[in-house]
Amino acid sequence: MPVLTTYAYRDSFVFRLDPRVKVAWLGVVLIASITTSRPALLAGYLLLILAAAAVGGVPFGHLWPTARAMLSVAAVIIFIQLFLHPGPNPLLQIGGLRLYREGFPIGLEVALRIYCIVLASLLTFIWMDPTTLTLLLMKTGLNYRYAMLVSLSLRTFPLLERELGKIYDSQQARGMELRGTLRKLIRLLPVLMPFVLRALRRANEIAVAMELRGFGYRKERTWQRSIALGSWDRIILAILAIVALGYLGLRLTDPGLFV
Amino acid sequence: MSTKTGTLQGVVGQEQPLSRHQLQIFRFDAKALVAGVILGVVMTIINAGILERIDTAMTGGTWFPLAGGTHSTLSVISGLFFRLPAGWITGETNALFAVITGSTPVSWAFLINNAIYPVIVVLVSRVLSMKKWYHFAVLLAPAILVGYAPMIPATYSVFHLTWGLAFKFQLLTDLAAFVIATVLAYLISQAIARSRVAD
Repeated sequence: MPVLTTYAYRDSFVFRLDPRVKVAWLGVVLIASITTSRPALLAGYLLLILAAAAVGGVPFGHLWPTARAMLSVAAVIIFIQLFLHPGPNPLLQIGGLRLYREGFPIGLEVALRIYCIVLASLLTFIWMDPTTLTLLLMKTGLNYRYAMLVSLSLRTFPLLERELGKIYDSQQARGMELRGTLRKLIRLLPVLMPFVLRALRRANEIAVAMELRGFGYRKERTWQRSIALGSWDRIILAILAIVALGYLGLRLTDPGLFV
Repeated sequence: MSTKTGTLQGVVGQEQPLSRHQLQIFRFDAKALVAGVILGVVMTIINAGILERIDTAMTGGTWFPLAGGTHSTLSVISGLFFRLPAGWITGETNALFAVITGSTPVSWAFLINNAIYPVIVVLVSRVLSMKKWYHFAVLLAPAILVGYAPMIPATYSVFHLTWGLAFKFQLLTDLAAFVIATVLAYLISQAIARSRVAD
């Protein structure tokens, strides 16, 4: 299963938006998720994120591997909270271990918040072209030598995942049993060692190719593409600003709604 | 102008360091920057794909016995061979991907951890040759204790733990990371130095 669902362009309104709009959307979702404690509201935010994915042309199947992997995390988080928050209502007693009902809403709150943060971040990166991300970072004043490293990481991620798959295959061809998570864990070193060495060789090749193309030769460089805010970008930024201000106003004047 | 090769000027008469860049603090060449990114991606694939999932399933993300080990191993390799800012780039690449892959609930705290950790690695590795296994133990002890400290308030706030429990969980992570990374970082660093792939 791939660890990360990366950017793949689809002809959709959201994909065409300026990266600043996508970052602003992520910022609003993060602020709302972090400052809300009520599970029902957090569940509502989660539904909004899924609705945004559908509107943005990202099928739920693209988010499902991450969401499924987080199910076990959520289950363990809820279990820990049942154990850590003693109260007058015990839920279950197994030997000396007693679980309390009082921990359930806290566990649910933490699990839902994590779902909101992770799915919103993942969705933003699925929507965001690595090149526009680099251009966005350069707009913040970051030198292009560092700005383009972010897009490099996004582009090399699937390549290195395939490389790891090849190493697993080669080690299995040599008779090493690597099926199942536990076996992979026990035989980590024979996989990690060639993976790191091959990754460093690849880094060498990429660096040489970049230097041959003049990377770092001048302080400035030119780009084929540029980013500029269009009218739709401005409209959506204004809507996001109104939503954020409205939320913060409500949060400050009536905190009981969110806690 | 003659160029002396094979022996580093700064350590003539002493044991030669494992990496020929070990006396530097900063390295800004393209290879160091790219290697920093690539090692960050490697760390993410190994950790987010396998180890953090196992850790989180076992401990709910309250402590990371396995992922801490590989995190320390790759952070040490990055800092040792490629110095700063590559060490920072490796750590922050991992932190960025940890957030978007949802590998652990406290991944946002990695942004702080991974800013501190490489600084200690780079500074301590300047005074050690890193050719003996115990050099890695000496390097990792302060790096893990100080570098992983920001995880304590993170686990405390995310999991609503008590401070005492947050400290205990962090000590367990530190201990496991120290043992695993001392062995892995030593073996892999020797292999990298022998292969000269980082020169």
